[in-house]
Amino acid sequence: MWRKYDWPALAATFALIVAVRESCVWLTGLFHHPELGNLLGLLLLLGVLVLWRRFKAIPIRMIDANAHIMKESAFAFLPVCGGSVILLLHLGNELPGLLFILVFTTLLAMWIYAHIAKRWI
Amino acid sequence: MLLVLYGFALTLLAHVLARIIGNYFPRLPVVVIAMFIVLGLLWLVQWPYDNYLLHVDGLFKHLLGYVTVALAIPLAAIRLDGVPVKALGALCVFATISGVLLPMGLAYMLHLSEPSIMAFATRAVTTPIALNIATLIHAPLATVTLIVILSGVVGAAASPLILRKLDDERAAGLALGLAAHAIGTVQAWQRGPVAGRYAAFGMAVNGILTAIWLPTAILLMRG
Repeated sequence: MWRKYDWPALAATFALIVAVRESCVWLTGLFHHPELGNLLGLLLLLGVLVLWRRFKAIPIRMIDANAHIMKESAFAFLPVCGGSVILLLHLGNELPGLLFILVFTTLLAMWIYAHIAKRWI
Repeated sequence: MLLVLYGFALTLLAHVLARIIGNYFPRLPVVVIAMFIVLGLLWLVQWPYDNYLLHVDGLFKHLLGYVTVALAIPLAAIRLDGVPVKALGALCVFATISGVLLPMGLAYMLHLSEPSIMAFATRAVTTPIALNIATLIHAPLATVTLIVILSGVVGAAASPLILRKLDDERAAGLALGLAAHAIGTVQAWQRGPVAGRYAAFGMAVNGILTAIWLPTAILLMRG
């Protein structure tokens, strides 16, 4: 398992993500909007990488390392996911309507987007 | 600090166990298995959920932020050679508008309360961005989190069934990212790297577009 991963690339990619995110949260915090830090971080890193790609290819090791990070990213959602199940049980009268809308709009949207994407792309 | 580490270890154990169990049930999203293991482990150690969340929330908010920023890499690396960019753009615009109007319209028709209707505005947006938008449009954060997470879980869990006849990984990825945001994207990465990259693309573009037009439209409507 140890050899399965490119650990230096994983560490470097993670460090880059952490540095960008934390700098952006700090920067947006100066303007009293730290909640916009994640979005700014995404746009900033995207902008830098798109600019980089104009001159050089994005390192394949970074893309592979990020794919591993994304694959394990479910971990970051676990505490809130667990909480959403508990909160669901305390919704009262709005529960059936809320569940119906949630399930219907998610699945209908997924089906429609998939078929439009297949036809158009 | 010790309880933060304890909570982190418990969550990590649930994740590792879910990965192992997921090998035997490949059609079941790992996140769905893992969230029930988290609740099971909390029950086993008699740790109330609210107290667990109180301790791990700060750490996991950082991790959610990193996941959002990490989306920039597949988004920048995606190759759109041969992909009709106008059609892709039109699909993303259609998705961002329908992702807001359809659930809000249904919530209004079913006479849900105003806070619940507002909470549905961010149903199709990934959690970190949804929470930013919710703060700007004054939607209840707890309900927003519930709706976003559950719609992601429902989308990821039902995706093997909904997308079973789809033989195009790019379309499957886009649909997962646009409809079931981050949890759908995680599920798309389980399908494969092509679906994963397109899901990340769909999710990020949808999130960015919604974060721009939705608060602006609501602020303009409120005068």
